[in-house]
Amino acid sequence: MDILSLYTAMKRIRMVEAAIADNYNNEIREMHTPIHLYDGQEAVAVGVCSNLIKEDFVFSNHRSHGHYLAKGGNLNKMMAELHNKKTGCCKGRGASMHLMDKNCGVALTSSIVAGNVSIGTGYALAEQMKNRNTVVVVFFGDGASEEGSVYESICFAQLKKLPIVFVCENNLYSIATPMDRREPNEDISSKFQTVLPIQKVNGNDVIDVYEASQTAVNAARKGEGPRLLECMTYRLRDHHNIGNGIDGRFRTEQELKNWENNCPIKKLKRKLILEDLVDEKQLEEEDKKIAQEIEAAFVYARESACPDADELFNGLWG
Amino acid sequence: MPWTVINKEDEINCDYGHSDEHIRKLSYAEAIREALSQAMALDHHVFLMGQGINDKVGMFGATTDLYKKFGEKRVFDTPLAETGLTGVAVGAAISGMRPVYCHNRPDFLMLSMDQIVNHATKYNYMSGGECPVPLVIWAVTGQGWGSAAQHSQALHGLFMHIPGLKIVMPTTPYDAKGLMLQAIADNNPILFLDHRNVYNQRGNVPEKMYKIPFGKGIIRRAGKDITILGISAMLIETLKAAEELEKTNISAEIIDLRTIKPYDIDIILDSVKKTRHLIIADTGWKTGGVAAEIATVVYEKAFKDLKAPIERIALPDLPTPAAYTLENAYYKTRKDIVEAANRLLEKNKI
Repeated sequence: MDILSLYTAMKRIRMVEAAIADNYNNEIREMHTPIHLYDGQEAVAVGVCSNLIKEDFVFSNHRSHGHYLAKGGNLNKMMAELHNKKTGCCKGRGASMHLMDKNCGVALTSSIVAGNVSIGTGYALAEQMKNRNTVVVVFFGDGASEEGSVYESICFAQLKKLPIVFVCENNLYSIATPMDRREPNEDISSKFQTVLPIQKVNGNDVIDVYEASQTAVNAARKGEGPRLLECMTYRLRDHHNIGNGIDGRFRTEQELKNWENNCPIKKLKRKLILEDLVDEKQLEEEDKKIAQEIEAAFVYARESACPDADELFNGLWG
Repeated sequence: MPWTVINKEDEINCDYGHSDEHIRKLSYAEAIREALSQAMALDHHVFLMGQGINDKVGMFGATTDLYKKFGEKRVFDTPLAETGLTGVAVGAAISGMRPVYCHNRPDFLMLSMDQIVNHATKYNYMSGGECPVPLVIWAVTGQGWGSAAQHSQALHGLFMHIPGLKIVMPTTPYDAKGLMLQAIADNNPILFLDHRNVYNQRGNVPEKMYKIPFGKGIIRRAGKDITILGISAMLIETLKAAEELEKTNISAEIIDLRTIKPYDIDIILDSVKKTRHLIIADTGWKTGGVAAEIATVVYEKAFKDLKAPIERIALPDLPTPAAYTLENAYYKTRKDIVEAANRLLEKNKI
């Protein structure tokens, strides 16, 4: 485990999201797409994906930027997709909620939450049938965990001992509705404990996530079947768009402040400095490199062409 | 109990004048089984899943013992979890496999709608053509024996509305084999909807592998006075109606579209140009249904060729009743088709 690269990967996601937020409501409104930013949850995507190889596959949801980047998805193509350009990873057909980069093992993401859970399960079934050594990871939220098909998929995965890790990112809110208004049992992973091995993890601690997912990924790769990780985390932005949701809609300023202080990036930075693993200057250098990469991605996206109207019907059929 | 088992004595010959003594005869279920077996032998990516598929009477005999030949990894029973398991089939298809997911009744597909409508039919388009979903979903529509409202729905009209889905509705054993092989070879989500009543048929089926292209209809009986389109099991009724009409010197041309999405509009227009009358007999409901869609396109393209309004023979807007007296009042038969034909041609005389 390379702690510095875990830090850099998280920081990169945070900076990409910040750049998107800075430009999202600009005068020309160049990104025509609903966005669901990943701020606050970076430790989950990075901690899990750092255990995967290129051939492994992740299945994500509407909040897909972090998963896409952590798995190695191409940043230029992502930014072009958000700008509705033909050079985008889905040629301008998917936008923010449907990112994919098959070369890097990011499958088309689904915004009908839980849809990706059963599809990922099927992908794992196919890989098992083909005798490949691939591991599939499915990311889903606490909201999606309420869909019946998640239970169906997890049971089926265990029945067939599929090489899959189910990662529930519990960020405490389904849009703006807290858990206690939705479920009689707020302990999500406990609902599945009679079906498969479960583990509850501090989703704001990237080292915890890394270690827990390493065990789960290794077990899946060895043919020991699926596992479920519930990563307790917190979404620093509103469900959608760039706000922070403290307009009284669903959370208080104090609640947000507490979680900001508990942010996985800040937390790891404190540790790195405290344990003298890195100096501030080194981190600043890393930030600069990331900023340049993001700048270049925006240039790439802005300079790319939009799809032509005569391409409208392309790609309906395989 | 004539419901899940096909009785030998119920079988009818269905070669419609194209009978050839030298060609081997198979039942409808045997034809499908042969298609599945040949596809699986040819391509190790093909696999079968479904509730009760390894049951001895699995899918009316169409899947019986296939697991013995290909193993339980490639032919497996599924839990009653249609939403999740349809997603499983979609995911396997994305990975390059060619799943065939079987349902005894299309009514259960209502539980799969999220995966069919929101996922399977969208992925290739949403990915800019990078993510094909070669998946066959196969279901057998029920009719009769008190099947009632939840075991008898012909839902193809509902699915016809969804872009990205192809819908196959064979009636003869020959077509069942050729269309199933084409469906498995296709790179898109296919809904293979057949009907309990077509399983009573036995007819010519060559042993070799062959595929029937989608969107290519066939004239089952040539005629000159009126064109009658028979969809799925209603084709059987239209053919019986044609025989009766012949007795009163009415010559009906019978068309079997075989696939309703895409469907062969040219074969209909060519026939209507000649007969100038059209009846569409469908197994589904009338409002917003397949007959309504086809009629509209015929009006758009051939209004001037028609001498009288198109007649739709379809189900009333009601759930299917169970009691046989009510079932008889609900379902349409050859009698309704004959009456419609007489009505149309009579109108025309005045």
